[in-house]
Amino acid sequence: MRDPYLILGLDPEADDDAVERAYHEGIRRCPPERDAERFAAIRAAYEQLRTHRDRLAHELFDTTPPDSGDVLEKAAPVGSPARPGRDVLEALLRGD
Amino acid sequence: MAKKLKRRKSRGGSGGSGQHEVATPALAAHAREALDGGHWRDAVAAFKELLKREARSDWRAALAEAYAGRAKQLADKGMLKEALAIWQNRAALDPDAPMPAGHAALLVRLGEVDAVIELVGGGAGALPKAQLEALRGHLAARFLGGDRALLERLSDDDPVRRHGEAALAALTAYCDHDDEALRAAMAQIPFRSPYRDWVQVLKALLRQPEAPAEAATLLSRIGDDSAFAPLRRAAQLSLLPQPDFLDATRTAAAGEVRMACMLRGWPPARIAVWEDMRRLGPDPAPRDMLRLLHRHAKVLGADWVRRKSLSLAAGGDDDGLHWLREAGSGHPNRFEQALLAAWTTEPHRDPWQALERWQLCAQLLEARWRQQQDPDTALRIALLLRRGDAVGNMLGDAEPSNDPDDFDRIAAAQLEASLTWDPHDRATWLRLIGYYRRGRRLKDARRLLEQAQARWPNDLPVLEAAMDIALDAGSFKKAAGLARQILAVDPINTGVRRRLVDAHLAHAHKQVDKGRTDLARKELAAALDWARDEATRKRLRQTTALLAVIDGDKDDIEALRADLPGGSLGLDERLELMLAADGLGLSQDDLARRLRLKKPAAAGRDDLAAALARLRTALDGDEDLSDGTLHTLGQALRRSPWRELSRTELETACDTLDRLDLGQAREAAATAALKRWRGEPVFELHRFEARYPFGFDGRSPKDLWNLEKALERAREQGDMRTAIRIQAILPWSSPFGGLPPFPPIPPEAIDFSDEANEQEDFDATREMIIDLIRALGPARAFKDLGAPAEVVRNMKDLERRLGRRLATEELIAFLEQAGSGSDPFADLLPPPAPRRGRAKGGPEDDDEDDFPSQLDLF
Repeated sequence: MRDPYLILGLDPEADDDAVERAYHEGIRRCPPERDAERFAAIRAAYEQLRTHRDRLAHELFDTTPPDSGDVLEKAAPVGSPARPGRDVLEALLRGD
Repeated sequence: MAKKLKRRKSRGGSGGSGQHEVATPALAAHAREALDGGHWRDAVAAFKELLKREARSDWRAALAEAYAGRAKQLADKGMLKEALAIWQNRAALDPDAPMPAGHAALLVRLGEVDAVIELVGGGAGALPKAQLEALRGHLAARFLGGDRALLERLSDDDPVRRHGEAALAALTAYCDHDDEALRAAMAQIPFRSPYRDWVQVLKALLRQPEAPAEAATLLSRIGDDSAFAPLRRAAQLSLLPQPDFLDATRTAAAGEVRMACMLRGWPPARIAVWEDMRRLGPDPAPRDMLRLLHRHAKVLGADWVRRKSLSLAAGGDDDGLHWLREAGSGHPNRFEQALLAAWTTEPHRDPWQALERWQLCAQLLEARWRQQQDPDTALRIALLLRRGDAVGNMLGDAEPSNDPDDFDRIAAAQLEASLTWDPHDRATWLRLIGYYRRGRRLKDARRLLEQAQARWPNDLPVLEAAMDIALDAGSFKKAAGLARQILAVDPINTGVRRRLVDAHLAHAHKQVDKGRTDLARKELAAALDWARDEATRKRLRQTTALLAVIDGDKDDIEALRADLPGGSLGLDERLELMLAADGLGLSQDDLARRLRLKKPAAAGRDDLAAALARLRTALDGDEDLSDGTLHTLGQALRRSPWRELSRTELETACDTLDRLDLGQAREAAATAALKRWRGEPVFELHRFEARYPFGFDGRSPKDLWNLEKALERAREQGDMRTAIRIQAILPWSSPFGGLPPFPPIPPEAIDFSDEANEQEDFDATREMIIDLIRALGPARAFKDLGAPAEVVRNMKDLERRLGRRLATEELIAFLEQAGSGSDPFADLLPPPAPRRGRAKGGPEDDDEDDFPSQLDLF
């Protein structure tokens, strides 16, 4: 995932406080000793969106194309693990 | 239809006629090879042909095997009816043979269960036990898959029927999240049941969230041929880590992926997008991704899709707009078009174009702002106006040029304009103040500073900028006041004290020049008030004492002499004295004569090391060393005890002497080092460079030979830094990697009188210079090559005006056209020409090209 809004789980209208909160929540969930790569991504996302000026600059100058992770996360974030529906199970049992 | 018939006919015709031409043994070998290699279709065709020639039983068995393989292949592809036809062909080979499991499983899958039920119920004795169990497993899965009527057709004692209700109850309980009922239902299913794998799957699904490893073990017990294998594969897929999961889903069956995604908590919208995305492959092209975004615009959000579409289109350069239209994005508005154009400029690093394009973006937003005065739009305009400088660092080290059309002036104007839209960005104020200060345009710097101070009266960086401007203007009282203000907030700010000391010292020098040593003393006293570290205070006291030499005051000079026993100072102390004299503009000859100082010499290892350390400090602090000081030092250092220094100290010493341009001393140090570390590449390099400061002509073959050997040794030792530095000065070597184009030639073998080699030498030198320019840029390349300072300066100027990329291209084109000559720089030495700005029409300029003409370049 590359989009800093998606990495921090923020709306495009997020303000400074929301960015700050999302950042702290993110590093609490992914401290560097547990997931260094994810932590670095959260930190970088925060740097890109920290102030209102930063967010407008991101809007104007960011040319990073979306990757698969961005598109999927934007479509719908991953929820809690769920049991497949009966129709799905039955289809596989039939060999469809 | 006609097409189909035609295709079939041609395929059959060619295959048949081709095989007729082949002899039977060869065809048999080919058929066996195809069968062993799993090329089922070829194997089927070949064995059919063989059977036409001779009805051998081994060929018939082989054909049956090929049919089975082909049928399985088609079934895996989802071509179920075609697979069934193949199985039927196989059955026709031997109508009395029992139905293979694969055939039966396919019939179950297609819902044609009657034949299988008959086989399971009636012909049990004819089937091996394992096959019978497998068939029952397929019937069990079919029943759970929704074919409830199937049970009625089985005998009462058939395990599929007997355990069917419990298995179905388990399915219902799992889907209803009723785990208690699920466990109860599973308990009713015995181990030797057609539903055994079903129970394993359910147990794994139950354990999966808390104990994925345990779930994986349970799943591994289910075989690949099991009727429940699709469920096993889906559950295993869901257990993979994220990156592996995404990769694996690209090749897995759609139903299995759907189930795995659900198990991982993917909402339906995410699954739908992924099913579309996985068709694009692991690394989708921007154009395909753009289309995908638009297909899912409802889910992804129109604004997000539009913004990301622009990012993707930016990767398409000129095709970007076409991609957007093609994907259904509609025609971008004028601002979006301008933004796209500006984005595509950035990677090319063309400062003119970048400034123009970002300004156009700002202008378009200004028009919008006039209609609706939105603060965010104002901020966007400011950001756009700052972008050219932010990316190109145009004002980073630049001094204001005199030409208002030069890009640093345009960038500065854009930055100033940005402050009217967003005056709260302190960094921009300070950047502009620094830019004007560097060019001594204090009026402009002060104008901006006043506005910044009004906004941030007690801000440290602004106060420091104010102090620097006051010092630049010689307003020491004002600077001192500002320094006190800064030190009140930040008492350990040594930089402020240092700047004040330096400013007072500089002013003292000016007063000495004017013959006002009384005022110079005052300046030095003021400097002493600010200095805190003992080294600086000592230096200031020494400088004050030297004023006596300038004044010619005999008593004071005598007192000073008394402090210098016998005039024999150590090199370090003498250097300090020389630097103090330099600070006052006192010549070294006068200093030595009036204080009756002997020629300086290092008193030993420690003295030499201390003097070198002081020299490094002077260089790092940009202290100016007069020619007299350098000359005196150079003489002293040539006779220094270099052998007593360690290897690291000698290496550092050579670098320091290189920075000071003290070639003879550097050569002496390197030679001393080479006596201890024979052939050491880094010292060979220093000695060579010191011996041939201009790098081009008159090198002795022996020295070149030694350097070539040093290059080889540096490569062997993995000292790439030294290797690259040596390569850069060798005329025949490729500067960046690889072996030289021809092996080193011993000096005795070289005939330097051969004039026929001149053109080759020139070409090789030119190629090397071009390679170096391409890699390092013109200024750095020419500096490394030891070009005259004027050429290096011109290169820097050229880079600043055109940008490094364009300057490099222009220069290479020029060099490639240059004719043969002994000195490639000869053509580059500058005739008098305008140095800055865009090419302008002058009495000799006919064209209006944006780039300077060749003469203007230099």
